[in-house]
Amino acid sequence: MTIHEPLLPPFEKVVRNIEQVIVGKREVIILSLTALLAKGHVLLEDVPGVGKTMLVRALAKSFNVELKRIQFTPDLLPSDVIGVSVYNPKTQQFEYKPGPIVAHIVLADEINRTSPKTQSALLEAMEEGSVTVDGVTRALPQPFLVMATQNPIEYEGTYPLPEAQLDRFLVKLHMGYPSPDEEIEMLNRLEKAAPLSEIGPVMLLDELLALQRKVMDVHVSHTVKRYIVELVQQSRQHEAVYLGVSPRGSVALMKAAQAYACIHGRDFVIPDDVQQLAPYVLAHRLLIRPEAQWDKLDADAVIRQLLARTPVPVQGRR
Amino acid sequence: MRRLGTRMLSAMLPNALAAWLLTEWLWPLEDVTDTAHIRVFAAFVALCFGMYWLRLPIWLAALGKAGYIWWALAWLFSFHSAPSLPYALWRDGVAWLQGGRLSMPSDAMRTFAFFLLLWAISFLFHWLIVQKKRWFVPYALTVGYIAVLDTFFPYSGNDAIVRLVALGFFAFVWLHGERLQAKAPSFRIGAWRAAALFIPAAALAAGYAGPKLPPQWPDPVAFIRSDHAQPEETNDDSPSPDVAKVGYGQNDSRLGGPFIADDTVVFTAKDRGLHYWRIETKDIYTGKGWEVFPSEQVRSFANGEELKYEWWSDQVETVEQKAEIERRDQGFHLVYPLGLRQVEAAEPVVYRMDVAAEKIYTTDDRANAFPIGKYSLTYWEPDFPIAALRAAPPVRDPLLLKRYTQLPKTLPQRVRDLAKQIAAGEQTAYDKVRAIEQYFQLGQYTYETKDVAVPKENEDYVDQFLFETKRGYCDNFSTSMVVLVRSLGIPARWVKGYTSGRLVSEQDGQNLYEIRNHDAHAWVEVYFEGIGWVPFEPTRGFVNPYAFSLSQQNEEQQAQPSQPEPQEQPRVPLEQLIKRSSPEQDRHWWEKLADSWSWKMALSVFAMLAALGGTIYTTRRKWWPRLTLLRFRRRQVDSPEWLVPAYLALLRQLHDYGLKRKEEETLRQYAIQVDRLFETDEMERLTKSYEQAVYGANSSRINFREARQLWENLIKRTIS
Repeated sequence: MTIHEPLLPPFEKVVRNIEQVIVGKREVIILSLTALLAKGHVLLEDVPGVGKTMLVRALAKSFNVELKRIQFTPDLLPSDVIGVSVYNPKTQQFEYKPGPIVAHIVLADEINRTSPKTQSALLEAMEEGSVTVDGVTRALPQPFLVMATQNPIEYEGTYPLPEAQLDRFLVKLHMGYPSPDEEIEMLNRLEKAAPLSEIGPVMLLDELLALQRKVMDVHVSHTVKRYIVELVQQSRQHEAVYLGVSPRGSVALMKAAQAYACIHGRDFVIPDDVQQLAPYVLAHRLLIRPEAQWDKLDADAVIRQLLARTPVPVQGRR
Repeated sequence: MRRLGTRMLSAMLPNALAAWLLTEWLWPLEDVTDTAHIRVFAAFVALCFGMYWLRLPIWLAALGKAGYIWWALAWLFSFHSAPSLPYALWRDGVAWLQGGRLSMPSDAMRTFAFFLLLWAISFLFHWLIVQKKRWFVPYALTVGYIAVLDTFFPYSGNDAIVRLVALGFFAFVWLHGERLQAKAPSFRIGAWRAAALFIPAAALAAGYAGPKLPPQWPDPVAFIRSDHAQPEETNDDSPSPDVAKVGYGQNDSRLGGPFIADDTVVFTAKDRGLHYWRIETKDIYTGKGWEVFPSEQVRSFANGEELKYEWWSDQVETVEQKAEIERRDQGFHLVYPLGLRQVEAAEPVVYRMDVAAEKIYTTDDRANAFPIGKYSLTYWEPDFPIAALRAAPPVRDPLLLKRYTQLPKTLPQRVRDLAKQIAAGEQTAYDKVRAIEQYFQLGQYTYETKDVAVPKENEDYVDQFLFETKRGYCDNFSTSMVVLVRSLGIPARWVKGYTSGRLVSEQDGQNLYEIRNHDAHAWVEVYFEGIGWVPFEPTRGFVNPYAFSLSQQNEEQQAQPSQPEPQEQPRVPLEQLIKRSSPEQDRHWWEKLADSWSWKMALSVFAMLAALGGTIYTTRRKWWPRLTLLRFRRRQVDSPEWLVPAYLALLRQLHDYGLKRKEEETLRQYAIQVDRLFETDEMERLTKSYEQAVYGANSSRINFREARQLWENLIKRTIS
């Protein structure tokens, strides 16, 4: 279910571009763009081989920005991520060798396989938008988007991310399997060539930065703010929820909605944006009571219930 | 637990309706067939549906029903030991099968079969009504069944039809509502159920309170029969009193209605005297008509034998006369003059007189009806002495008094009051009777055969004629006189027969009369102590053919009492009537209003208001959108101040139209639904403008002209 509205032309171009290599995942593409535009980060939770890497690569290619990939392993150290100062005998000084994090788009593969120490280094960089090595803080390039992946199946030898760290991701997405028709279409495209090599940039970096600034100006009316707060408040009272959505979640939902509205060519947020985004923005911020599993209630189901319980405001402030 | 309770309750109603419909089939059986103990079968039907209601396991229900049948058979046919019942049925069944085609199965066998049939039909009704919620077919069949029984069998379906209409329509609406709810769970069943209760009730109240026309078509059965029957005694056992009467009829239990003249000659008579031709008398007035006094007393006499029957005492002077009758049809009873002495016919018949009705049947020697065509008779022609009549003492014979002063309890008091007024100032019984006879000759009563009313259920035939309609024919006049005379305590009876007919020719002193069907007539006889029954003629335009003579000591002006003397009488009743009405004017208008404001009026007004309210409510979809349209058209502000309330009004309108927005639904999702229904994109476009106004920062980009157009189009779409 997508919102019934055309996209803003530049974004439509980007989505079409990426759709050349990813079949049938329009909503995931739009949500990734939303995160990028809202200066947030994406957690992709999915089984291997559904096109996570492809998505990230296509995204980077569309904007003609640098993409770096970090394969997280248990022995990876924080310095392997953020970079190290190396002594240069010629200059007799320590020189900073940037780590793979210093890029516009970073693909952090299997983030739960590394140690908490390395995880927190990554998350700190995500949150602050900068890295600190040997007491020197260096700003990361803008835009900066981390797409972290997690395999939900294999848990052996993993370090699951604590809730406080999950909170740092703006949205959590699932790629999911393609439908049979989509899969055939995918095979058709891959039969002759590698499509990824065929796509090129469709938006300039400056243009993207300008749009990022424009998102700030998207109007969120009092009515819609109240709707967001009501949803969040409800999540804290839901009987199956152990820990509800934090205020950071409300901010995230609003920011995401602003970006989402912008992508759809609007300069104001409507409740549809909120409804559309709530499952992706809020689900990973909830802690569900263990006993709720007996009712087959997971975080997504709880969000659906919250949306069904909360009346949509249809009048302005009275 | 509570949900289970309501579910049980709502499941009870269809079961109860089905059970009731099936029992409607049972009740008439008691009247139409020789089936007895209908209650046992009705209880079985109730049991069947009770079990459906409780959803008993099928084996348990079957066991219960079989047990009931067992018990009922044992009880009805008093088998000594219930356990032997199956064997007895088996034996009966075998006996029937061996007995060949013509033998009837035994009563127990038939009852058993009837139970099985009811079992099957109750299953069918349960399936149709409770499961399928189909009411029409079983209901239509039931109405047809009752209608056929009512028309062709001696069964009155009046009550059943009223019940069927009242509950039937209720069931229609109720079950249809349940079907709708099953289709669309969002359906507002509560309002529907309220309507199911209210509308049939209002219709019934209106029908009950409103005026009721007589049937617009005559009873078809009577019509068909009268087409094939003899002109005389046409509609003897016609079930409807409203049929036009053609000539002489025997059933007078419900008088009134128009009268069609029929020129068929019934008989001719050669006669010297002048008199009416009697057939019978009747003496039980029911408020609607006349019934015969039940009596077994028969006096029979042979051809030429003198009838030993004391018509009058010897105070009445008589002259012997002879007459020859030739009937054109074959009657089973005589038409005869008052004072009959003997009858002679060519056929060897025995005459049997039913003393109570003074009706004489012609029979053979075994008392089988035997029609005769031609007979001659001798009779005493009376001349009543007025002096003796005046001098007659009050009647003392208690039996005679009781029988001939009978009046129904329902007789309105104003009839008795009128009799007292008319008779006021008269001393003797004779003068009182004469005053009443003359009263009808007043201008306010007219002879009329066509526009004659039939009394309604709560009206009295005489009261209606005397005070309301004041028009009628012999039945009205004569019955009214008998009732008035009786209410004074003077014994009187109602006589039926023919007038003397039309004089066709005179031959050697004998007059030849032709008596036709429309000469059928009714008049009055009053009993005077020491004299006997004396005929009187109250009907306007008719003259008493019997002679009354003054004896020496009486006044001259009473010489011709049968002549109308209109000037003499009117003062008494008219003046008193005027006096009676005068206090009416002193009363306050509200008292009058309260008087006229009967509950029927109140009900009618209530029903009318209910109908009006119902019309306004049911047509709201037509007028409310137009009103909304007008309301917002008048505001010419192109700003959110116009758009927001207008859009919200549209939402309400769509909600009433049946397109409900769920609370958790966004406007866009709702707009897509609306547009899908109306096959347009207007709602979506309008919604975008509205979103801009409500959620957006500035509304300057809204195209209000377009929004207004879209809004009007959408409102118009909701006018259905």
